[in-house]
Amino acid sequence: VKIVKLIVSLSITIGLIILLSTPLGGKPAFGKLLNPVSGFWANAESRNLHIDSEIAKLPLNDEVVAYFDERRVPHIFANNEYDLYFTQGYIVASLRLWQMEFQVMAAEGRVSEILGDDPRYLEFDKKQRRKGLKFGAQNKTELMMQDPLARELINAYTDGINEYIKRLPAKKLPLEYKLIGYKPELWSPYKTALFLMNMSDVLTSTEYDIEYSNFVFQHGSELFHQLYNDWFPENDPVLHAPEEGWLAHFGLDTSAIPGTAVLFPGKTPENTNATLGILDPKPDVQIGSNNWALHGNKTLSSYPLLANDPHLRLTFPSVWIEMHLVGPQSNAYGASFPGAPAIIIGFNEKIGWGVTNAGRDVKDWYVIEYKDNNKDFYRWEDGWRETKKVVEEYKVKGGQSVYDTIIFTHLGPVVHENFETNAGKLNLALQWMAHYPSEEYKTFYLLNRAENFEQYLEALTYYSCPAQNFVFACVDGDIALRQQGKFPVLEKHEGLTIEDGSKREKWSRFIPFEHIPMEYNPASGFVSSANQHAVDTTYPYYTNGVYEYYRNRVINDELSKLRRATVEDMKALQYNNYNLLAAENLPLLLDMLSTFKMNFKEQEIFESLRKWDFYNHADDINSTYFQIFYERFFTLLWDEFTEEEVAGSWENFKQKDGYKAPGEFKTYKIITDSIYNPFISHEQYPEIKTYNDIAQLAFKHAVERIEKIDQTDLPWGKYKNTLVEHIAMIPAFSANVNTGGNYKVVNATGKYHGPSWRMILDFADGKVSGLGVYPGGQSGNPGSYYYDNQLKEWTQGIYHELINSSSKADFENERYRKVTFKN
Amino acid sequence: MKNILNIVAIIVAGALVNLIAPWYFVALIAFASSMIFSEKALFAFLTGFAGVFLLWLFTAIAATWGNEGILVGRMSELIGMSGMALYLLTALIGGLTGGFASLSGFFLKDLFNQKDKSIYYGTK
Repeated sequence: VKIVKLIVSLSITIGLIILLSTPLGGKPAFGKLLNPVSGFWANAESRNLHIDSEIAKLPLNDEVVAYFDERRVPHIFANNEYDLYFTQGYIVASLRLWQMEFQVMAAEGRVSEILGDDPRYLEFDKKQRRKGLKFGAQNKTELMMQDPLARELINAYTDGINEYIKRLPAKKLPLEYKLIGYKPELWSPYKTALFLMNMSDVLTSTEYDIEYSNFVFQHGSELFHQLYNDWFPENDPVLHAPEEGWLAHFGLDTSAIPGTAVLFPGKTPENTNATLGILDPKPDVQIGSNNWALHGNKTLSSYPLLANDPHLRLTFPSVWIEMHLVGPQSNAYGASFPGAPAIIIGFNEKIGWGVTNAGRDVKDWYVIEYKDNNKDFYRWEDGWRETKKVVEEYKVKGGQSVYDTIIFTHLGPVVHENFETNAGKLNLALQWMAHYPSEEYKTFYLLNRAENFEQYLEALTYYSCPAQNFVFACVDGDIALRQQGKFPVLEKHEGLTIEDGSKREKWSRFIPFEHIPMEYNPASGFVSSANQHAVDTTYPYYTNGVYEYYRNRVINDELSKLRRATVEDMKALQYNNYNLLAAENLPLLLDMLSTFKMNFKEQEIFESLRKWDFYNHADDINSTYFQIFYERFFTLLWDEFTEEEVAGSWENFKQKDGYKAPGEFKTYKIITDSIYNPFISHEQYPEIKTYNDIAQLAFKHAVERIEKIDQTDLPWGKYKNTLVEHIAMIPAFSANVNTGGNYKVVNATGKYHGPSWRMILDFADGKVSGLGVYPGGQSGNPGSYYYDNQLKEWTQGIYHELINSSSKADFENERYRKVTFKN
Repeated sequence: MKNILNIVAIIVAGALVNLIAPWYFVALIAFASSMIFSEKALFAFLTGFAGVFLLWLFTAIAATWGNEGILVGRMSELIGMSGMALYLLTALIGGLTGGFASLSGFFLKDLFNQKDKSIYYGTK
């Protein structure tokens, strides 16, 4: 009997421990997670860390000191380059390890390895690898490892991260590892390359080659050009044509201009009713950025001012981490990417720089015709070329490995096989600038050290993809802006739609460095970019892309008016809520409405909108009215190409699979310039015959929707309800903020996107002083005060002084917590 | 008195083991402690339960001291229970593990060391 008791009791005990250690039904193991020793409790951090500490026996050449300020920004002082980037890696890992690893695992297509057996994860992973994120990262790693400078930089950074991982006790594992139930791998230079591929994917994937092809197949190229041509006289490009013209400026004659390509393969009306293949979700159209620099002749101090705010998805942990890196020959301060060495957007003692996305199309699609089902050969002119096959393994967590064969052609990987288009089922290969070997990190390493305009230019020679508008200012008084990237020389319209893979060779000619457009101390006294067209149509090279039409005009308008500008003017412009899209479209739409058909509520909202000043302030109600009205108008007009909008998803006109509606500014031009448009009618509302009918119905629908919204939720900030979301989409780790701004507004705070780092640099008296703030915090730990401590300041327009002293003495006080890294 | 001694022993030894070993080693502590101190099955369970319950509760409170409720706030939203319940659930898991481990320890002692029991009585 006693032995039975013992066995039963022991079994219960052991059973309980096993039960508590086993993940059940997708939930983490309760005992592992909840025990206060190594479970989540161990991730609680105290806000007060004003205790000096020491980390010993590190593989450093010399001692390194880091001073953490009250926002936990590290000011790192190292005596040699290796130690500097080693310590950067070590500290970034200590603050953001889970985020940096998860981002690159997702880039590599390994989400199902972490999150388990869910067809959505596997689908995502396969797409990542088919698009060639792994392929590109391998190509870049190979090149970086051949360059002594890039190799040193990335190896030091990698060593620092790995030293942190090796020393990390299980109980201090970031919370997400405990929740999901896995452990970090060691870092490698390849992972740093993957991070860059991830950025290229986000910043160059807004292209519509396949969607445009579907339109051309169905409606022909003439109508396509009418409804999709995107150059207008109102456009103010980033870089203006020189007085003598581009050709003369480059010393070229007209024979240098390539010919025009035919949109492939023209109209095929018999296929127009096919179910179209579902394309990857595009990065949000709101991704974009602003930057500008003012020459001393426009500023109060007579020295330049520079500002930059890149708009990315608002996430926890933040996409950026703020750092100050002082080495033997460098002193750089700014925003860095967790996973990438050096400062990406920032300043040193002489220069400052910032970036906005170029938006040029560097992703082209080609039809591939296989010889037979073995897919060993594909058509090339009158014969065949051999494919290369790569078998990819997906180690699905809690399941069996899945295998997928990716076919490579001379142009790149076949991403879509048997893909439904209006021209039938096609195999589509992708040629993407991001696939090519390049060493962008070298650009940033050199910018961290550049002292003048010449050295800025030299740094940019290493930069390929994703192409950026690099703004520049320096203490000498120079300002400049250059759209840097590697671009193929294309025929006009080449790559606008799908190309024929049996006739197009791999890109072989690229726009030479000296023909990349640039402005240097222009007569206007300022340079600026906000994702608009790079250049006008007289530029001798084809520059297809997806461009913005509103922010740049507001910025340029404000900057041209400024005299004796100060830092305060820069702050005001970064937080400028003027909605030019509304200012152009609302009067047009209101004019289309006939008031005598309106009920009381409709009249009230109509009158309210008529008095609106077009500012998207947080407490404004007309912003909400306009957004709902405009969104409804746009969707009713382009019902052929957009889905009925889903309540609450106000900011995105969700395109129907395989289609892309003309953009907002093009739509405005189609209406005001009376461009032929056969898509006015609406299947569901046969009464619609004119734009006025659409406006009338849209207004009626909008008011019906507005009446359903609770009064307290009508102010713009409440209605928009901007979300800063945890990157694994855990609601408890995310936050909503009530704030003004909108996409297409200079203060580009939409629902999911916004200025992810706001920086203003003042070069007064030949010294660089910086201000900055970002929507998050230095720590990636949801159990830390520093996880979100800057979010409120960011919404309120409070900037932090970025202290970039190169003297340790300035940090030897009670404001800073000193950490000594010893060898 | 012995029961209180048992609880204290579990807390002290458990806290020390916590520093180096995985969480479930606390079961071994409760098991061993019970073999030394326990006299009755019911008290063995209760002391083991109380010891680890208190140890885990204290440890959780200590871990989140100075955290201003940030972590508990987010975790209670994630798990879907109040912060207080989260502390108690944690303690309860520990308590049950400790209780059954302690009971097992007592049963083992009961099985092999019948005579020793009287020695313990003798030393009381």
